[in-house]
Amino acid sequence: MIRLENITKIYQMGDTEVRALDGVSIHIKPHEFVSIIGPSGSGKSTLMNMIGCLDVPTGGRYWIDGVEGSKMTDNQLADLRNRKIGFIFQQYNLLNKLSALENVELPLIYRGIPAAEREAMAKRALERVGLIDKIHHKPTELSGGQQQRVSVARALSANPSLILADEPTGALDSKSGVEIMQMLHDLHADGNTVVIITHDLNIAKQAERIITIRDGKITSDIDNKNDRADATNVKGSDIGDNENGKTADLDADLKENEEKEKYIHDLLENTSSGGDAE
Amino acid sequence: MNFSKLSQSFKMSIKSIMGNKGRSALTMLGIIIGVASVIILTGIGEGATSTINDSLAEMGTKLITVSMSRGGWGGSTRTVSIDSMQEFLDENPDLVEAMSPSMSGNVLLKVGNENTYTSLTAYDSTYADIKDPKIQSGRFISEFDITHRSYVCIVGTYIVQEYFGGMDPVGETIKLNGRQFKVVGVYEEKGNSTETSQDNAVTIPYTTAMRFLKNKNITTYYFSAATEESVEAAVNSLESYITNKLGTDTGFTVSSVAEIMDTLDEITGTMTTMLAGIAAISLVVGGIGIMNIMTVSVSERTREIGIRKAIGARTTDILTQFLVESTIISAMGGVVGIVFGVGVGQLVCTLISMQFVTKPSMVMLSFFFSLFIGIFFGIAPAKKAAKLHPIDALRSE
Repeated sequence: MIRLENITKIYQMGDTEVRALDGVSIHIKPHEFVSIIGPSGSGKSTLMNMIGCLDVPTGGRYWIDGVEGSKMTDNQLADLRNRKIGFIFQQYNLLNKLSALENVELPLIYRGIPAAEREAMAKRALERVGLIDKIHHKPTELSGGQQQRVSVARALSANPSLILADEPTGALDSKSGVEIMQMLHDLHADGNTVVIITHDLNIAKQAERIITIRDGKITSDIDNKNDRADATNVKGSDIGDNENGKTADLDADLKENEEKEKYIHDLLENTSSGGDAE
Repeated sequence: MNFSKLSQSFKMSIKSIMGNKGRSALTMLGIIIGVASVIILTGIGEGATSTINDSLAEMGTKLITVSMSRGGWGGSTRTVSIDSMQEFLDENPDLVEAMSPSMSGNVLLKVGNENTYTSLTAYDSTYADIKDPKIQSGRFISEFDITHRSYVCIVGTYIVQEYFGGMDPVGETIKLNGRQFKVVGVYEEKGNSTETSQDNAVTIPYTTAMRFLKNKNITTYYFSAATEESVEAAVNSLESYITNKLGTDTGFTVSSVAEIMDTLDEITGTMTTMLAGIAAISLVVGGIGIMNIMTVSVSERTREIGIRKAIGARTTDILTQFLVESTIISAMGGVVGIVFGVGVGQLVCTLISMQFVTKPSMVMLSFFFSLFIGIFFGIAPAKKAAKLHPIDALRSE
């Protein structure tokens, strides 16, 4: 599905080299639900750009669906993004001048799908996120949660191989956050491959597999599969509440990985303090 | 780039233009003014040209005028006799078909007890073959009048209004320098029937005039060329014929209306081109306005470009979108400018009673020139937009 092999990305800042990614190798299989967690400055955004084909690596190789993306031209990368990846951004990144329907249609336009077919596909996607009655609303006329649902619809309208979510709940209130996460779980249950980039452990823990990144290197890759069933059943009230409910159970179930778990907690603290500093 | 994508770019551009109505209108203003000034200036130029040409053509495009003038200081007017001119006419039927001597001067006109000066012209009866004398009632000079030196005259409408109270004067008599003349015809109104207009005029047979004015020298001859094509050859031939008769090539001129028209066409053509050129400069300035606004627009819409690129827009998609937008703005400006230019031009020309000519070729030219301006000045900002890196574009706020 997705294979990163020894990916490095070096930014030249004046005379100094910044290694944003330093030999990252990841293999994500089809139908997996993976979360990538790391503090700010860990290289997680750069990693997302690599997986999302928004950037080309300095070194290493990269495949998505058997297509090598690391040596592509800008236009080839654009086509790859268009066909293989559905993006969900923290800030929704909808075009405010277009209606919900037109926003969802946008990737299909760039794919060159005829108007009638395109509209039908976009409407199906909006129906799936429960916004069929709001298709002619502009993003500014929708709540944050609804806007993020439009962006989910946009991501899945083109039937991508991979749904790539960058802090999908970061700008949402907890209730909307839960709804969006539930939507991602549903998409995963329908057989989609989902990758979430986050610094929120509670979000990360809902995935089948948790990858942590720090200083441009993968520091852990935890199989969370056994708990995934529980995680998908997590109710809204349980999320964001570490002290009780399923999250606590989840922590208990992770005992065998206790060391790594502790590490993730440390990371989380670093992140939040780092976030404050920004 | 397929048709579906292009029509989408078109829709998106319209949306973006309509979403920024004020700014789009201001951007278009430069093009509107540019196109309108091209249309107005060339319209007025063409109008003036065709007005001049029309009045020249009325004089007759086959008309050739031979004027004798005084040859130098203290010299007397040398002239070629009527018989010599008749000889030329008879010998060159392929070049000229009619000839009329002409005299002119001022005479004292007396009707009843009222006196006034009026301008007098004298022609042969053949003048009617050279140029339509436009008689509204009665007749022109006849061959009989010429051979018998009849005291007959044709009068202008001023004289009819002033001395005959608008009644048809044919059959009445008037006195010119004390001699009685019978009115045989009335000219159509040429000016506005006032004393200073062409309507204050009297025409008599040239044979009568030669005796009456005691002047044997004919200073002007009118010829009619056989065809419009033979005008130039006839002029050249007349020049050499008269040069031969006079023994000098000075002291006379042979001119034709066609020749004057050619010269005027050249002058007005140059003027029209110059005016259009000046107007085109404002079109270019309008184009720079478009480039300005589009560049600002690209900076403002960096994030939008990033989003579009992230979800799969190719470089060419973005390039097309911005190029289509600037082209639509200038094309709309072009259309509005044409409508505005034709409207204002026609209004102004009606007010100052001039002719306004809208040439379809000029309308097409200015439209396509504005399209070209939109594309040309849209390229740089569109390229800037297309080159943006999706990550950098997404990061911008």
